[in-house]
Amino acid sequence: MICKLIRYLAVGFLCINIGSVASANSNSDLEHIEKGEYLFKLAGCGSCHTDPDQPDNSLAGGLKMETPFGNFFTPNITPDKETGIGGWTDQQFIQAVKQGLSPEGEHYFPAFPYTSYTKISDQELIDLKAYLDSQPAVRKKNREHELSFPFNQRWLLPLWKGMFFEEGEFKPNPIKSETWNRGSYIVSGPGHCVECHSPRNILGGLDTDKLLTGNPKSPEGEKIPSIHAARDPEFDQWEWEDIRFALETGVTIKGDVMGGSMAHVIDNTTSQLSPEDLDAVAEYLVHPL
Amino acid sequence: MSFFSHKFIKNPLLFSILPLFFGLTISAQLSAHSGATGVLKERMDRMQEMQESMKTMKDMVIGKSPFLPDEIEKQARLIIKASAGITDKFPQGSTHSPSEALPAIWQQWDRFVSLSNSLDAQTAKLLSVAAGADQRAIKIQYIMVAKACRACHADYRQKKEQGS
Repeated sequence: MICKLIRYLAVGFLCINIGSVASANSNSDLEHIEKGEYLFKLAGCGSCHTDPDQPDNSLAGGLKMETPFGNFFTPNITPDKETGIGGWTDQQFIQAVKQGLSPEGEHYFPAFPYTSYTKISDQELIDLKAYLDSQPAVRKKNREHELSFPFNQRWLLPLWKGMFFEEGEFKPNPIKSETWNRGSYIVSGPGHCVECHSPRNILGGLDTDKLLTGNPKSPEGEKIPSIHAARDPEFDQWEWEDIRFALETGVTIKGDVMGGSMAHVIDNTTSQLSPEDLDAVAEYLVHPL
Repeated sequence: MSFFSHKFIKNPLLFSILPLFFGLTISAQLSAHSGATGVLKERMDRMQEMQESMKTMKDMVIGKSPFLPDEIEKQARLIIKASAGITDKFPQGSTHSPSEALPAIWQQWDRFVSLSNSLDAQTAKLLSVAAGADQRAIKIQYIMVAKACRACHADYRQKKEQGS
C-alpha cells in the first residue's frame, strides 16, 4: 500500500517537473518569437517578402522590384521545407542575412540589404528565425530574377562585395548616449534607412561619404529625400518632435503625408516601433555624425 | 462705354498697374503648382489646402503650438470641404505634368474611391471627436486621418519635389 503510494507520488512529482520544464521552455520559446516578431517589423521583412498581389501568401515572396539592373523577385521565407527556409539551420539563416550567402554558398544580390543587416546580432536573428518558423508554410517556388548583363553574373558578386560590403555587427559610439546609439543601430542596421536615403554609384554601391543625404533617383525610380540634419538645411529644420511624429504617422513638417514606398515603411515598420525606439531614431537623426 | 471702363481708360496709372497686378496674381497661383492648370490645378489646390490644415493640427497635436479644440474643429471642416468630391477631379488619364497622380488610380478606380471615402469618414469622426476637446482622443483620431491620407499616397502618388 505504502509502496503504491510512494510510486504514485514519484510519478506525480516527475510529471510536475516535466510540465514545469516544458512550460519554461515554451515560455522561453514564446519570448524569442515575440522578440523575433519585433525585429521582423523593424527590418521590414514583410514589405518585401510578400507579393501585394497575393496577400494571402504571406512571406512567400514574389514581389517584383524593378531596378536599372533588371527585375528582382523576392524569395519565399516561409517555413516550407522545400520552397522556403524551413529546412535552414539558425547558422545558415545568420549567414544569409549577415553575409549575403545562401546555404549552398551562393552570393545574394544586394537588392537584399545584407549590407545593413550585417549589423544585427546573431541572437536577434535566431529570434527572427524562430518567429519566421512559427508562420504558416507556403509552398511557392522562387522566381528567377530577370537581370541584364553583366548584372546577372552572380560570380561577380564577390568583387562587388569586396568593393562595397563591410561585414560586421554594429559598434556603438562610446562618446554618444545609449539612446543615440540605439537610433544609430536601427538606422544603419535592421531599419536599413541608409539603403534608400543614400546616393549610390553606377554599380549600385552606397556612397558612404554621403550616407542619409538622399537619392535623386532610387533603384525603384523614386526621389528619396535627405534625412541628414547636418548636411541638409531643409531637414535641419525638423525638430525631434517632428521626426518622431513623422516616423509614427508619415506626416511631414509641412503637413504633407508621405507616400510611395515610405508610406509602406510607415505602415509596416516605423509606426510599429516601441516608444523608446521612436525616441532613439529621432534622437539620432536630429544629431547624426 | 461703362463707368468702370471709362475710368480705367482715362487713368493711365490704373491702366498700367492693373494688368500687372492681375498678371502677377495669376502667375503666383500657377507657379505654386509648377504650371498646373484646369482640373489639375483644382485638385492640387485642394490637396494643398488639406496639407495646410494637417500642418496646423499636427503642430497642436505634438505640442509645438497651443492646443485649441476649436481650431481642430475648424481645420477638420476645411479638410472635409476640400476633400468633398475630390475623385471628380481625377478624370481618366489626367497624369500630365505637373500631376503626381499615378496611372494606378484608374486601374484600381474602385479602390481609389473607397480610400477617398475612408478619408471623408475619418475626418468626419475627427470633427466629432474635436467637439469633446479630449486632447488624447483628438490625437488618436488625427493619426487615423493621416493613415487615410497615407493609404492613398502609398500607391497613387509619386512625389516630384523632395522635402515637402
